[in-house]
Amino acid sequence: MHGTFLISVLLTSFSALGTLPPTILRPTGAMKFLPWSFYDQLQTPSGMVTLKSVMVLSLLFSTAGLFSVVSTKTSLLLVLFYQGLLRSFGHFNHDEMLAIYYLAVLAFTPCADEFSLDNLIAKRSGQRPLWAYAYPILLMQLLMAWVYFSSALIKLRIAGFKYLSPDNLPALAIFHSLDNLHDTQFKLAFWLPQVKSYLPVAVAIILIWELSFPLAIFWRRARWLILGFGIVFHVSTLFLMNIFFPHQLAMYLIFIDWDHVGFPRPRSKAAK
Amino acid sequence: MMAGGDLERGRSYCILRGETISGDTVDIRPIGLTNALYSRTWTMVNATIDNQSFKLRSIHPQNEEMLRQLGGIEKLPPAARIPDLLQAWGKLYNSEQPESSPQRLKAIRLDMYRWESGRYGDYDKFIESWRKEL
Repeated sequence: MHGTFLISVLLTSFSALGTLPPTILRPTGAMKFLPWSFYDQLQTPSGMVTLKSVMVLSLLFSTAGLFSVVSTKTSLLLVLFYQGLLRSFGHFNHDEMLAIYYLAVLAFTPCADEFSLDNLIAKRSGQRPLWAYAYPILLMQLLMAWVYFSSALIKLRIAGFKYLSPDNLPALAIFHSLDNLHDTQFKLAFWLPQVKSYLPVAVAIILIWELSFPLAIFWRRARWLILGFGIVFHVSTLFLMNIFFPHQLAMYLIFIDWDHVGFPRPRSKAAK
Repeated sequence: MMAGGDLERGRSYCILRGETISGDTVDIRPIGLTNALYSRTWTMVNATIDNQSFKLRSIHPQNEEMLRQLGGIEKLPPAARIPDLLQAWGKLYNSEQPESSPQRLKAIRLDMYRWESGRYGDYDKFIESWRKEL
């Protein structure tokens, strides 16, 4: 999780972000309590490069599991602040939200007891009972399931069965393909009106997939089908709507059983 | 997005363009200039056109000063801060071009279009443009 944000921050030009005028900012949530003089100092190329440097340092430590008791918390706070700043320019998009929740879970659970520099230095292993390591993973899987499940619920609550109208997907997809302010410029959306009579079925399948996402937690056989469909879904939204969720897709890794791919489970005291 | 798309509802959208020293007009993708704002550029532009940063409980001192000079928010023109945003993007674009390049921009503009409702077609009815000399 920390590594995902580390890569994302490294690939981002903070100095370019710092050239945007603070007068278009609309601080959101707790960001409103910070004075404008703070944003004036931060929202400069040098201010943003300083923020990037601090974030890279903290995320490097938390990714490597070094000083993890502190670094997981500083990474959470810095990422939370940075994402709040970005949303003060734009809107509350969903992509990184789940990953931020994951950072919060990792900041307050034992995530660096085994595969970490802290452990290498202290040479300790499996200090806690197994459930202490299984619980955060289950919690993160539940969070992801809730993201998809509640997404389907809110669509049905707001739009009802109108969400299954043949014009729903083409109208939305074409709107997101008209400007050049989206990150990609795919034009596949303009093909959708030709097949719009089939689209209510496709949209219904997506809703069923979202509602059934919790099965991925408890039913291993269904897990790979549900996650595979998720990858197809998110890649489709990229080509059809110019909207992509790379952080969300990276979080699918939480469903991988690392015991089976070469990272042994920490041994608890009881097991010893 | 949760409400889905509606063919009966017209929608406005924008295209960022630059006018080069050589006289060409080029499309500019803002994601190439400020990649931090991926997935958010279009809503940032919409919010700036709508002067949303002037409608906060606590507004930026420079925005407060602008309102004071104009005599209130009702006298504020639409997209009051779009020129500042265009200036920033224009500078970033030119900073990536060699000093002598004819592809450097002399001006940058945001063109707004509207897709009128009701049918799949007529996507680009021109509405207005904001232009900033660099």
